[in-house]
Amino acid sequence: MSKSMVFIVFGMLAACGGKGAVAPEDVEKEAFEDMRAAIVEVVEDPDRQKEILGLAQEHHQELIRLREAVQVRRTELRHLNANYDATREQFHEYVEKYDAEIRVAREWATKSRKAFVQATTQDEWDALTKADSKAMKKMIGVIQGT
Amino acid sequence: MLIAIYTIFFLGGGGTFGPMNFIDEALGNTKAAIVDDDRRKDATASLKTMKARTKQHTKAIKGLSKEFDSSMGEHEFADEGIDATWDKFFDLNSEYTRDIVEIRFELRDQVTREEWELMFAASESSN
Repeated sequence: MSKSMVFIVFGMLAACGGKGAVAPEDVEKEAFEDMRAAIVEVVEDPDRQKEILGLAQEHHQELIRLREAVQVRRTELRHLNANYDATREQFHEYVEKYDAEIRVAREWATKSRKAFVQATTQDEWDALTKADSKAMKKMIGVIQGT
Repeated sequence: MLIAIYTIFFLGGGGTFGPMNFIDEALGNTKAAIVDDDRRKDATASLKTMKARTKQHTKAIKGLSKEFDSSMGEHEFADEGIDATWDKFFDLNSEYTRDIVEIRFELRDQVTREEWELMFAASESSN
């Protein structure tokens, strides 16, 4: 497990604006392709391999959806803040709405992790964890804007 | 492994009320937007407080993500441990949100409508 998989959105927003910056979507796509390759290599059982590949695909799609949703919320926040007449209640409504979305995502994340754990053996899990690819590290770099 | 990335997405800032990345924009606009020296000084101080609070929050989240990152690598890591991390995340977020909204309203009270609109002009036109 990479020690540096952090600051996703912060970095995404920063990285999106830079001239010549690599699109996070492209780096992310590459990282997931590497992950799929690692799954094929590590998980020999065809049924479980198929299941884990499906989980990885689901994970990728959910991450794309999530990034888009966060960008929409960030734009809403910018507009709300820019409105001189915005009330505290409007801010609280915004926060509650966002918080509720995060709680739904939290449930999904926990469920998804559990599915990965159940589908892999200890050895497979360890091997997949070690297969933290260069692309993955690059993705983190882009995300962190470093 | 990428399994963790979804959760770390939030721990990395996707789920925070901030980072209020328009604070720097507003700081850059205060000179042109606020002619009165005293009020400009007050507004600048409020924006710097927002920035400092955001940095403090980011640092706290960094610490949390490190704690989480080491745990997530374990195959047998219990859901309770993950839940505890999420709970800390929500607590930190809640405190940060409360503080930043309060400072935002202090700032609003320090400037006129016209000054505010000039300070956040880019936000109004952004998509």
